[in-house]
Amino acid sequence: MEAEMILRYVCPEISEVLKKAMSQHIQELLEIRLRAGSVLSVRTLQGVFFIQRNGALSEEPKGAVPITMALLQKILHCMSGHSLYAYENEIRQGFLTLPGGHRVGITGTAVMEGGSIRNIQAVSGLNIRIARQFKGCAEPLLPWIRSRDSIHNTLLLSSPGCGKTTMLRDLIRLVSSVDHHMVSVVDERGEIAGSIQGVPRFDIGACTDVLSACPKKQGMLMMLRSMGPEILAVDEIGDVGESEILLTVLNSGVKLLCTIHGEEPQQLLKKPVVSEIMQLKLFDRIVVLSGRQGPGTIEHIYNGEDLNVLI
Amino acid sequence: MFLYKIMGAVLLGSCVGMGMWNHMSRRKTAFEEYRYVIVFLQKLRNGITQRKLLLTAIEEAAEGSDEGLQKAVQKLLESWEQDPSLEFEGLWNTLCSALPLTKDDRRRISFIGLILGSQDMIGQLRQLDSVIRVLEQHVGEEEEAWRHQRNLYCRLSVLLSLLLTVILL
Repeated sequence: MEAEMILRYVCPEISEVLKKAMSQHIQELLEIRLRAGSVLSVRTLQGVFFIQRNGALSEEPKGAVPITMALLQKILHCMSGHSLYAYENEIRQGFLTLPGGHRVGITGTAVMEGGSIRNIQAVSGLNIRIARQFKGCAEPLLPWIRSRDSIHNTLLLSSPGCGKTTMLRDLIRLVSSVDHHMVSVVDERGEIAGSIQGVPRFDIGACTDVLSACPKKQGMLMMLRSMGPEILAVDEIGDVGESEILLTVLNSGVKLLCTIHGEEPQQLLKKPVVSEIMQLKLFDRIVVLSGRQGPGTIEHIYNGEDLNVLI
Repeated sequence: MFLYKIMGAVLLGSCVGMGMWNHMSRRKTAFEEYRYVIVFLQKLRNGITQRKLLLTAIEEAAEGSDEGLQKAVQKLLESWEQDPSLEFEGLWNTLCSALPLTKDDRRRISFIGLILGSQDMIGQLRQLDSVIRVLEQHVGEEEEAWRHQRNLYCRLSVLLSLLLTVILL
């Protein structure tokens, strides 16, 4: 269903092939990869496959649907609602978010200005990541996260594509709808709530406020000042200067629900910016996810204080 | 008899005058329609400057505009709603074909469709400015010609009326 919605934004020559592939062969589509000069490929729960012209899946790229730069440009135009200028800030960061929270990663040639990226020209690759809601996927986590009258500050940790955002979305829904905590979400990339015109597309709970498309650092302070949250949720922390903001949030008595890229907590201590966050011991629970039994597999839950394994 | 002749002459003169007035009014309506298009493009330009989505900017620009233009915009939005993968250029060309413009001006506006929505905002705005300038110049020239001809036709109709009166008398 979610993937079919994305096909509305892809040009007919590609969407027809993908429709065939999805109706006949693909069970759980995770990503659609389009690379100029290469062929159409998808990542599913079963692995990476190349799509043949008749919609069949192949493990070899030979005979798969070719992708050109012109085609990518056309798709990007459709995805931006023929308004690439309106997505300049997102494209500069290498992505744009489709209605429904599906993130499209963009590669090409970066145009630099004064040491920062001004634009991405000559788009050479698109990675369409299908956003899904798996209601209930965070239920096993809940007993480990609940504290006496609130929740523990929790950090979800995994490699890309292992279900961090999906897990975070469901945790938000549960603490908001089941426990009735006031949750504020800073959804910089629009992936958590999948807002369309500011209205969340995913069920993120009845007591949740969402600030979309706002940089995390400013957004967290805005929500703290204006919405009186009990819990603040943000995706993919780890930028320079975020530790101070997180500390400010915690000092205000607000709990944190965050995600971060990584594989093990010990590994985070070696990363320059993230180690600062880890050394401050901001989080009480660190949940490690993997894709071992499908995205969102809970590998371990650590105690944030001493990094002892709880499960 | 004399009175009837005068009345007939006045009647004929009025007919000539009305015919000419009608002709001038039609020309006026034509460049008023042009003005609607210019205002539409100016509003569209503002929408793009505010980084509104192109189709939202088009919809808002058409608000309060000429009925024909509003219908054409509505058609464009419906087509896009049904199939977002349609190429914008084609949608824009359909919109342009519904505009009451000369062939050359329609071609000028159609040409903007190639650049509208692109990442290069400055380029889009420049193209729009250039087309708006050309259309404004066109309308200005037409208006000037219309004013000139209106005076000419007024004088001509008075002269014709007088001539007919003299002939009939």
